[in-house]
Amino acid sequence: MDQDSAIKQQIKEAIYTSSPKELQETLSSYHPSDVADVFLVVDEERREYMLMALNFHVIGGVLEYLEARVAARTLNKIDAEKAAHVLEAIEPDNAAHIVKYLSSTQRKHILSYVDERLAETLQTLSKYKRGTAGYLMTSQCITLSKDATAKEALEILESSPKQPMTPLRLFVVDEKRFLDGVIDLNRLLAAEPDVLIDDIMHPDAIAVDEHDSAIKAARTMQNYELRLLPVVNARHQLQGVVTLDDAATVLADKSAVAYLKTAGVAGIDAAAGNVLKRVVFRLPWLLALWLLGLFGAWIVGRFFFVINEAPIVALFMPFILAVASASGVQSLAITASGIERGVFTRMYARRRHVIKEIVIGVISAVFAALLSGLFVFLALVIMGDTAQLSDMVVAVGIATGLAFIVATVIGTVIPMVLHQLNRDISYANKPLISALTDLMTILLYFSFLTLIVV
Amino acid sequence: MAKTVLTKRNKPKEIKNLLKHEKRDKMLITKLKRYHPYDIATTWNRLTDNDIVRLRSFSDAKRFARVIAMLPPEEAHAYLSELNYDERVEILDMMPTHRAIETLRGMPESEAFETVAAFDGRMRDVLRRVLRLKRSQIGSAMHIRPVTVLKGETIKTARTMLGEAAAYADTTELVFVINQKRQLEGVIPLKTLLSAKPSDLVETVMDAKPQHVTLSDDVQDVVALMRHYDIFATAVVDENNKLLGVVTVETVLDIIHQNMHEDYAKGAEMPMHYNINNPSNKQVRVRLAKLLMLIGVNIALIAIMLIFASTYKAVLPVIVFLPLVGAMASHATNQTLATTVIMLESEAMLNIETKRSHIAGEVMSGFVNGVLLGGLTMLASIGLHEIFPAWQSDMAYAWVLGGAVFAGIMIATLLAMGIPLIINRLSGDPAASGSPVIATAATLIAIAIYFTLTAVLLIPIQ
Repeated sequence: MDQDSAIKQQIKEAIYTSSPKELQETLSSYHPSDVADVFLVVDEERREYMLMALNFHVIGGVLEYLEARVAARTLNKIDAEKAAHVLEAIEPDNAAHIVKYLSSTQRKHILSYVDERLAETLQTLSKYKRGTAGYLMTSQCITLSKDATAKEALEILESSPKQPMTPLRLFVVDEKRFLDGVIDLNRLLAAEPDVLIDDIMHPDAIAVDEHDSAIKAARTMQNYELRLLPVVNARHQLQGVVTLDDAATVLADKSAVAYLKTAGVAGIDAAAGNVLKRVVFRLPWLLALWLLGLFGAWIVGRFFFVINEAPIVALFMPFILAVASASGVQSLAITASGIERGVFTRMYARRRHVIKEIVIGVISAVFAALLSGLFVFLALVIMGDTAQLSDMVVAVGIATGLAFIVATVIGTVIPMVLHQLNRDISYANKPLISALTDLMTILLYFSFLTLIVV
Repeated sequence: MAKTVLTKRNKPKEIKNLLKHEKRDKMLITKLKRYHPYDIATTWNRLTDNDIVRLRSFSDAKRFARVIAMLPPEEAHAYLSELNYDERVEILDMMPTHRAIETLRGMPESEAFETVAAFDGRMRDVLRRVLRLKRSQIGSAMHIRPVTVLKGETIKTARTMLGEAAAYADTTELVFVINQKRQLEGVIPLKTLLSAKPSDLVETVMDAKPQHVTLSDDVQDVVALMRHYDIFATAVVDENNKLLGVVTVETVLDIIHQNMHEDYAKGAEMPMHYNINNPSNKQVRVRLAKLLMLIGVNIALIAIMLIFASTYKAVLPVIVFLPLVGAMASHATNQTLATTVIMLESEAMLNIETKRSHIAGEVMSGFVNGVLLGGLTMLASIGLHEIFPAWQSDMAYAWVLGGAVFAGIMIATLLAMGIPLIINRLSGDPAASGSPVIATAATLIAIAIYFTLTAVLLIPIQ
């Protein structure tokens, strides 16, 4: 991290002190990702200076690491001819994302300077909706015909002017770009020179449809361990290829969102957006939980006579609530991660899991009951309030034990039911489970107190 | 030209039926080849012992090894432990090496080392070193069969080497140039190798200052580095610059996947490598330890109630809202903790500006949520007082309750944001700041504020 900030400091210094020519020379030796980070934090005037001084290669590199929206805004500040060269220097998928954010007049203007074939590609790519496999894919891939020999295939590979980042797979298509199969480079390299591609290719290529979700594409790549995934249209014509690094980003975002949802936060913008977004993504859950809390207060109110009679009961209330909900959240975590990993695909696995959780809940409950009984005993002895000692020990102990079991059931069954109904299991988030556990615990605790203490 | 690839198929059922009903051996071999090892792996737990025996004898050894590699580590271990060491090694040796390591790590330590002893040559030495590493070190996640070529050879030789290695190498996109001592001299990307002149010497086209990481580097740092610079593969060397393996974008993907489950586990105070298939008694032991710890932490809640005993005894109705005040603080803790952990884990937080803006954003949103919910609580206190016994529509009551809800949310926000930031500064793992502990702390402070307000505002008017 220290080395990281040192690099950025150097870049910053160069931006503020170098002449245009020096700047171009200096910055082209740094990684565009670092230059992009610095570009974002310098002031407007310096940014314009950079755009003026740097050539389209360096600018292209920087834009690839900016958010598409920001990159589009930046591209607008450059004159159309240079902007066109910048777009040509960027990987087609990233360029298309930027083009998507240009207004239609700007788009027309800039694209008129871009190489005709690339302009067409960018137009097509930029039509895909965000979050689809089509949006994620790049058009750069190496295609060949199945009649080629292994030797010819390698020659095509060597002479391709625009090679993709990782030419690990070649795609076998016919003249209308119907996907006939794929061939992994490993296989090609190991093959005899004059063997036909048709004989060594994999005919049943795993592919996704252009309108499938990006998540589906990423999951497919992860499951089947693919570095490059072909994307086809409804007629099975090759449209492009998803690369694993882009898939990794999709999965990382997806897992971040899933993580946030487990805490009752509705989306990723809650972590990075402005205050309004942060509030909007949290408030719905907070409100729902608040209502549940109010309902809990109402339940406590029904038992107010118990509190009136023996105010000591309040002493242990927060403790029992906290401990029981911790147990519920634990069961939730285990069940939800099991569902995520696909462990419970079959009915008996689900049933076995629920039974196991309940068994574990019961065993933990016994320990928790004994322990909390002990604490009650100690607390009351310390306070010197021993009038209802045994009653309180029994009531709190049993209530804690039962609350534990109930919490385990809530934490296990709710995500299971959501899963069974094919709903998003993240609705069963930590706050919700603990709020529901709270309600049940309050009910149990006061019911026992009514029976035993009053 | 109708293709069936995209139509929905029940592949597990097909595979199961195939193994059960296809009696013609040759047909079975051909048909099994049509399924990806992943498809067979997802069918695994439906197969009988007999099915598995047939699967093994009618698939080629490498494909069968890949099936085992794709099983969850615990199932792979269960299967391998029934085989003798030679058979095990035969299968492990044909797996992609990072999966073999993962499988070995799923075994009890002594068994893993005994299995490794049955390997020969370089594999055995490297595997031994890898097994001694911690999970947090990148060496434990790397591939250990990089394609190498000696310095002084020609591009032509390098290509031949690549062709020969292609069948077993983990990744072919980088060819590593090494010297006699196996020290890393340079790297040739596949792209360069394919376009270079065959008669050139490898050192003339190689990248002589290759990106590399060290065996003991932290996994998360390497992942951050690779994602930041869009690196597809990088060499792993030991302290003597000896080439041991390679980390690829697949590794990164695996780690991202693991991180998610680990964050989740930590957020729920769960043990990290919790195995859902363990027998109940083992699960109870692991989880009970955590729960007992939580029970211990929560004694603080009894303590705070003891301290304020005289206060709530004087104004008993305040107890009715005690759970609400505590719960709102703990919910806000969960939310803020999650956003903070996500921010810290995304590389955006590497620069100080985003860190500051996150802090400001969180504090503001905590404030807004606090004011909104505190205000709502005041309204409820006044408007709904009749349904709560002995509660009064008095403004003082509303201020106490609303104030406590507001303060609870604010405190929760500050703690859940501050503690991970501090832990992160101390170069720990932000997700390790277990939410139950912070939630307890926030609840405790919220309760203290609630009762303090009670003492100040309500006791005088009683």
